[in-house]
Amino acid sequence: MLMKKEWFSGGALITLSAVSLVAFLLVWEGICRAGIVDAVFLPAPSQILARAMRMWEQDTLIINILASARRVMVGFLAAVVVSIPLGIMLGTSKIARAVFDPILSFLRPLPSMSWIPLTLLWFGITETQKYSIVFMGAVTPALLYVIEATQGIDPLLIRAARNLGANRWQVMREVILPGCMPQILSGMKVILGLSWTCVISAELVAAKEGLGFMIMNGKEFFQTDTVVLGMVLISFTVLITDIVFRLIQRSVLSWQK
Amino acid sequence: MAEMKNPTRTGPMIEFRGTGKSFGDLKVLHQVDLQVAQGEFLVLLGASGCGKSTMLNLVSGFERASTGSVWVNGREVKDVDPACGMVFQQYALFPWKTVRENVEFGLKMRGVSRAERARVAQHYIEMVGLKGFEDSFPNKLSGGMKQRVSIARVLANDPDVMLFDEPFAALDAMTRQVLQEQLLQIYEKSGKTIIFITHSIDEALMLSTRMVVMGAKPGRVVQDIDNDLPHPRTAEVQLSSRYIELKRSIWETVQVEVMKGLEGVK
Amino acid sequence: MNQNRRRVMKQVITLAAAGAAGLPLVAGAAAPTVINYGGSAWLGHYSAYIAMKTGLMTKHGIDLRWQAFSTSSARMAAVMAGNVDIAGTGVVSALALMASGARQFQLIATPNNFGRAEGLLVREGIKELADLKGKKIGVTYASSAHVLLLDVLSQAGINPDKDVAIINLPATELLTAYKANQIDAAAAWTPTFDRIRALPGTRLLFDDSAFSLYKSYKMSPGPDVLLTRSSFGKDNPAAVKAFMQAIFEANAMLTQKPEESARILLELTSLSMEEQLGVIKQTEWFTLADQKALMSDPGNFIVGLQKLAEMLVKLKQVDSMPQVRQWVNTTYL
Repeated sequence: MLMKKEWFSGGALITLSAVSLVAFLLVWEGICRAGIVDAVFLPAPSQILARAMRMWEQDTLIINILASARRVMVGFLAAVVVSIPLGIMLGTSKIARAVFDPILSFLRPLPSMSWIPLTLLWFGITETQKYSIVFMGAVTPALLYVIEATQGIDPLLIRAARNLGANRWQVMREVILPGCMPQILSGMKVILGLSWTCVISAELVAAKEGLGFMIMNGKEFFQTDTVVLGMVLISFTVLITDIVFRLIQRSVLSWQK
Repeated sequence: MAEMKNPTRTGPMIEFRGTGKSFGDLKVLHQVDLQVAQGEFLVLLGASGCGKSTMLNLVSGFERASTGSVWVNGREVKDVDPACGMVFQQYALFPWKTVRENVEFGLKMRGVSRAERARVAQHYIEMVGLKGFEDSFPNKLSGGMKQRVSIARVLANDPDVMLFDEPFAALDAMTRQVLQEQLLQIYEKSGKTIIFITHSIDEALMLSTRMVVMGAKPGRVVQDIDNDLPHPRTAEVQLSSRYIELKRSIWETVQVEVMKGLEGVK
Repeated sequence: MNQNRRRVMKQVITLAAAGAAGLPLVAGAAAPTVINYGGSAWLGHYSAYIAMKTGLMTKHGIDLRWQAFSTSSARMAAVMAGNVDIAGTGVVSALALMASGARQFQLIATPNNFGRAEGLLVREGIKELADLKGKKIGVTYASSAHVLLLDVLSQAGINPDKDVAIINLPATELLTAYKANQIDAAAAWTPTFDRIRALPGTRLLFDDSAFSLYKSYKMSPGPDVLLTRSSFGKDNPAAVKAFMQAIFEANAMLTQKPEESARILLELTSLSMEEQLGVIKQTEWFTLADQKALMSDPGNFIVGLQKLAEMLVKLKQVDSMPQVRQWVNTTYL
C-alpha cells in the first residue's frame, strides 16, 4: 500500500508520459515505413519533421506561425477588453442584462465560421476581417464567462465595500473586478483555445499565410505531411499559451488559498 | 472617560422614530422608538428573528424603513453612508487585498493620497495589535486576526457610529475575550457611538453602557436598561451581586420572549 | 399490330431461354454498370455531360452518376477515397498526387485541347503586367489557372510572394470577391472566366496562349485528362472501355453539331447561348484515333505533361517530379 504510493510519484508519472509519447511515435513511424498506409493518407513523423525543417529554412514556417498567432492575439485581446467591463456591467445591472439578453442569445450559438461571408463583405480580404472572425467567435462566450463570474461574488463583500463608502463604479472596479479574476482567468484560458479554432477556420478561406492556410494549402497539393505539421503546430502553440496562462494565474492569484 | 471627538451633539446620535420594517407580509420590526446618545455602547440582545440585524441594517442604510424613520447624526438615513461603519460576523475582508490595503479601503474610496492612506492605516493596524502583518493576505490570518483587521478597516474610515453584528460569535472563547478587551480599549480611546449585537448576555454585560432586549413576532423593544457596572470589568466585577442582578433581569426577559417564540412555532 | 406482338413474343422467348440458360446473359443485357463520375461546369467535362444527357452512356451499358466538385483537389480526394470511379480533371492536382507517389489512379485519355477559355481578368486601371504589383489577385490554388498565373509572373520577373498578393479562392467565390471589389484581378477558367469577363470595366490581361509551354508544346497549364481509379479499372475493364466509346462519340457531336450540343450544355454551365457556342468552337475535341498518338506513340501529350511536372517543381508547387508515363494506362482505348 505504501509501496504503491511511492511507485506513482510525480517524477515517475512524467517519465511514463514521455515513454508513452516516444512509443507512439515509433509505432507511427514503423507503420509508415512498412508501407501499410500510403504516404498520402498518413505521413511518417520523420517526413513531417523533414517538411518542418525545410519550411523553417525557407522562413515560411515562422511566417505562418506568427501570422496566425498575431491574428489570435489581436482578436482575443479585443474580445477580452470588450467582455470584461461589459460583462461586469451586465452582471451587476438587471436592467442592462434585460436590454442585452436578446442580442446575446442570438449571437451565442453562431459558430465563428458563419461570420465569414458577412465579414468578407464588410472588410474585404484584409487582416481586419481575420481579427473580426476571432473576435466574433470569442466575445460572446467570454461575456458569458464574465457575467457568471460576476454573479459568484460574495454579496457580503459588496455590502462591506458600500459601507466603506464605495459608489457603484468603485464597487465594480475595486471589488467585482478583482473578485472575479480567478474565474475570469480560467474562462479566458478556454476562450484562448477557442480563438485558435476561430483563426484556423478564418484562414481556410481567403488567406495567404497562417497555420490554417498552411493546412488548406497542403490539402490542395496533397502534401499531407504539411497538413499534419500544421495540426501539430496548432496543438503545440495552444499548449504553450496554456502554460503561460497558468503561470500568469499563479502569480496574479497568489492571494488564493 | 470617553474622549469626545466630535463636537458635542445636543441631540441623540441615533434615533429610531416609530420605525417599522416589513418584508412583504412578514413584519420584522414594529414601532421602535429608541434614542442612542453619542458615545454610548449599546448592546442589542434577543433571540433570533427579533429584528436585531434589521435594526443595524436600517442604521447603516442597507434597508429602508417601511414605516417611521431612522436618523443618524441629525440626518435621516436614506442611503448607505460610511458614517456608520459595520463589522460583520464573517469579516468580509477583501481576500485579494493585503491587510494594509483592506484597512486603507475607505480612505481610498474618498480619494485620500497614497502616503496619507498608508500613514492612517498603519496607525490603526498597530492599534489593533497587528503590527508586522501589514503585507499579509487574509488567507494567512486566523479568525481573530481577521476580525481585528475588519475593526481597523472601519476605524480608519473615522465613522460617527460603529455597528457590530455578532462579530465574535465565530471565534473561540479565549480569542473572544482578548478581542472584547481590545474593543473596550478602542472604545474608550475613540469615544465612538456603538451598537453591538450579541446572543451572549455575559458579553453584553462586559461591553455595554446600555442594553436593549428585543422581543420577536413582531420585533420590538422589550427591555431597556443602563449598565452601571464599573470599569474595568474584572473577574471580581463579573462575580458581584449587581452583575448577577442585571443578568437575572435580562435572563428572565429573554426567557419569556423565547417561550413566546416557541409557542408561536407550536 | 400482329408484327409487334410477334416481335414481343420473340423477345420474351429469348429472355426466357437466356434465363433458363443462366444468369450472365441476363445480367449482361439488363443491368448497366454504375460509374461515379466527378465533374463540374468546366469544358473538360462537356464530353461526359453530353454523353450522359444524350443517352450515349446508357447505350453503352453505363449508368453514369454525376457528382459535382468545384475544385480538382476535392475531386481527387474523392477518387483517393473511392467515392468517384472516373474523373475528368485539370492535371495539376493529379500531378501533385503523383509527386507524393499515390498509385490509386491512372491516366486513360485526354478528351480535348483548349487555349482561350482561361486567363487573368483585371480591372480597368491595370494595363500591363507591371501594373499588377501591389495588387490582390484571386485564384484557386493548385489549379491550371494558378500555374498559368505563376508562370506568366515568373516570365515577367514579378515575385509572386513579395510583389503581389495571391489569395486562394475557390471558383465559386472568385466571382463574388471580384464583384465586391475585394480583389483587383482574378485568374479563372470557364464558366467563371466568362462571367467575370462580362462584368463592366473588366478586361483580359492574358490567357493560356501566354503560357510558356503553350508556345512550344501547345500545352495549356492544366490540360484535361480523364483518369480512373486503378482498382475500378482492374475490376471493370469493359465498362471503362464502354465509357471511353461514349465519350468520344460525344466529342464527335461537339465537333459536328455545336448548336445542339450548346443547347444541352446550357443547363450545366448557365452561360448564354453565344458564350457557350464560343467555348465549344474554340476547343479542339479529340477523337479516339487521336488518343494513341497523344498518349503513347509518340505520346506528345505525355511529353508535355512531363514538362508541366518539371515546371511545377520549379515553381515550388510540388516537391519532386514524378515520371508521368508510369501512370498512363492506354489499355482502355
